[in-house]
Amino acid sequence: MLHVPGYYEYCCRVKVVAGHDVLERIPAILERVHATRPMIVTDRGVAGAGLIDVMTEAMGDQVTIGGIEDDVPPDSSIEAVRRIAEAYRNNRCDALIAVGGGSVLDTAKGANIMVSEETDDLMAFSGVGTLKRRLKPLIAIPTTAGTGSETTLVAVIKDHERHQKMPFISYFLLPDAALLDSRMTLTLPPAITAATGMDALTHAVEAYTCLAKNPLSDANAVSAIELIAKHLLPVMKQPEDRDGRLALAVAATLAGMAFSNAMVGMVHNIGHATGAVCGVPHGTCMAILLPYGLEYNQHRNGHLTAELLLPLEGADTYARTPRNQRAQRVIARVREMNQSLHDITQGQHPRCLRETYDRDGNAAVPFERLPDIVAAAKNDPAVFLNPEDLDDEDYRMVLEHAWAGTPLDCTRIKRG
Amino acid sequence: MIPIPAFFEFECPVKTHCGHRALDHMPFELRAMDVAKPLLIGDVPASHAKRWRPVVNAFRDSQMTIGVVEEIPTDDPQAIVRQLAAIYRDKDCDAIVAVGQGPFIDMAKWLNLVVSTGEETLDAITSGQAIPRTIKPLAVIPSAAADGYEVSGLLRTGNEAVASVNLMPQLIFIDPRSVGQPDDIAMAETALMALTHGVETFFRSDANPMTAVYARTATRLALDALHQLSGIGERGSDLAWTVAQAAALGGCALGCGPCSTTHAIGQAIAAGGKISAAQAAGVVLSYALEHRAIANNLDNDALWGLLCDGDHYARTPDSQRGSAAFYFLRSLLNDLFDRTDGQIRRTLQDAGLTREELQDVTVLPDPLAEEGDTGDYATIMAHAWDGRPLR
Repeated sequence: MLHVPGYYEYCCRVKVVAGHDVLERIPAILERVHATRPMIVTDRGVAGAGLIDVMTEAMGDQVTIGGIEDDVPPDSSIEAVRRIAEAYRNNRCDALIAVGGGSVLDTAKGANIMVSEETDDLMAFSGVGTLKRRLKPLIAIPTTAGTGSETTLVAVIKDHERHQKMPFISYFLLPDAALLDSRMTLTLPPAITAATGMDALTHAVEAYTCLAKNPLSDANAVSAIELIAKHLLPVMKQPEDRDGRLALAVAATLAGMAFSNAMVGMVHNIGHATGAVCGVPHGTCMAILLPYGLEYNQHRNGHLTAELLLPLEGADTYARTPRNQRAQRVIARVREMNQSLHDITQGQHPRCLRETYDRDGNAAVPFERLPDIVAAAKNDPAVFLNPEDLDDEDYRMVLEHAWAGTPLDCTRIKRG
Repeated sequence: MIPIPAFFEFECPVKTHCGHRALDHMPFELRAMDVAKPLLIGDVPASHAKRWRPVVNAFRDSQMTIGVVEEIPTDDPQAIVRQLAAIYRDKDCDAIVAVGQGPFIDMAKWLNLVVSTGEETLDAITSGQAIPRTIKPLAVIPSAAADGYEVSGLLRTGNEAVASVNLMPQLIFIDPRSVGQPDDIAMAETALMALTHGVETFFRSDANPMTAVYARTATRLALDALHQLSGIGERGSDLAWTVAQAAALGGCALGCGPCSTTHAIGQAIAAGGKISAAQAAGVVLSYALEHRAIANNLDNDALWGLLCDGDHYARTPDSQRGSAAFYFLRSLLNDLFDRTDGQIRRTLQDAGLTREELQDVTVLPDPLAEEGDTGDYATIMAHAWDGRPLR
């Protein structure tokens, strides 16, 4: 079904290069942007997994690497940005290659602002539209198939002194190219493959079912869902499946394009809060909360959720399922996917918040922390485009069910 | 589902602003690209103030200085580009906003190359080098009477054609106030061309899941418009806007990739003067697709999924999806034929072409076309002439 709102915007200016041997093309891509001495920005996890070695080996001796900065913290900070900008200048680099997830890319974007604008005052460029010209070339190489951050025009940098997260928003922050190479996700541990796959699925589903959807973001979302539905579980069972890995990477980028143009809703809203309060990884939160977001909004957007049964389960199931049961079937299918992922990972992929644990094996989300999550969720802007409102009681109700892993009692949902 | 190629590249630099008061976002978007003095150019006659005025008015409170050149002819592109380039430089402009369609937008792309590179002819601009990435910002305000190439990376003038993703406009504004109100025939032709671009780019040899996003959306919008024009669907007040969207997004899908078999045949037939290229493409489309299906070069399942909604798709047995798609496309033309008193043709015969004339049609290899076999063209045209399915 074509849903055309009265007004919409759509933009995805990032050049995407995808395949099994894309890393070998880095020298040509650098040449196209007139760069000869890139700096590689990454984190210890990526470097420790040997992915930088895979990349440098693929590039051969065709590129002179100006430096490798591999200590980007999990939460991008202004200190890390300053350090990388200084190294970039000292090593006379002329481009950045960010290898990793959202934090690495944000840090590289921040450093790019500093070196391109020749400034030490990064915060002077925070906000919307303060950048007025092209920055130095930036290539993004995601190492998980989930965040979609390679498609966004945003960087969020934490200023520890002011206890603030500062957003930078400009089309000049878009990477010059996003490289999706199956080798970069081939060794991803099963639990992370599961969480990031469900993260991408949530991006696509929320983009399709929330209020800022448009026909192009819908097409992105449907393709992403189709690919994830087809490849996530097989890749979990056969992690070395290169084609499946590539398909999931492409799906994550498609989902990133969808949500960066259509935004998200309450699943991200509560997920952000749960991550901030209890430190639960983002993808895990998305996987657990997605069926609850769909259930909670069903009286508003059940017709849209129902349409997703086709990409999720195919034509036969779609045709066999009565129209008024399709949304329910989608929700059930998401729960089944979580159950399968839980089984395949031998319990590492949690099905509910009660099953999440910190590194020391303690419960990550004690029941008594739910009010703190509610308080944090109320201040998170992701809820603005959710189809139905949530008050304290609603948040609490959703969280209690997500904690216990029980379906929502739909009679308790207030129709605002 | 589009299969994932072992390797693919995708790039679309276009930001789409679509809908009510879309034009009002133009100053902000231009300023974000560091533009201070855009040159507004249009082929729109001053008498079409309804289309032109909202474009100019969008800058009223912007505190930007704008240059305006309207009613620009397209009969001598090189001379006109030279004159406009002189104005651009003389007034110290730093971006182009083009209001129009077809050859006029080709001229705007050419003008942008001239003011960006300093070279005057396409030969000089393109000789031995790629179109630079750093050309000046170009915004396009398309209409509902478009040839579908406006937003693509193709530039055609005379016998020359250049293709580069860098020729695509960075901004498009599809505002119901500025798309015009062409008559039904013009809108149907625009939608048929958008449909052709959408469907054929979906199945193009370099298709990938990202080009498919634009192709799918353009196809669905074009079908929505054609259903309204044929009387199958209820006619909405935003019909012209829908047509303009279909054309623009079809151009995004096309990008700077190769043109299609249908396009090449349509152009060749249109050269005879009895039918427009858009209508010829509309007639030929189902036969070209069927020809590919017979050669096992088309995913019938994906084609039917592209053309219809989820319920229709799921209800149609696997084995019937191809024939359902071809029947659907031909029925649509039949309905348009009835609705327009025959002004939209169902077959090439309807257009008054004789079999003998058809034999004289030479499908020249388009400089940007995918390779095709001339024998195949003849078969496709023969069936499109009298409306006989290929099997």
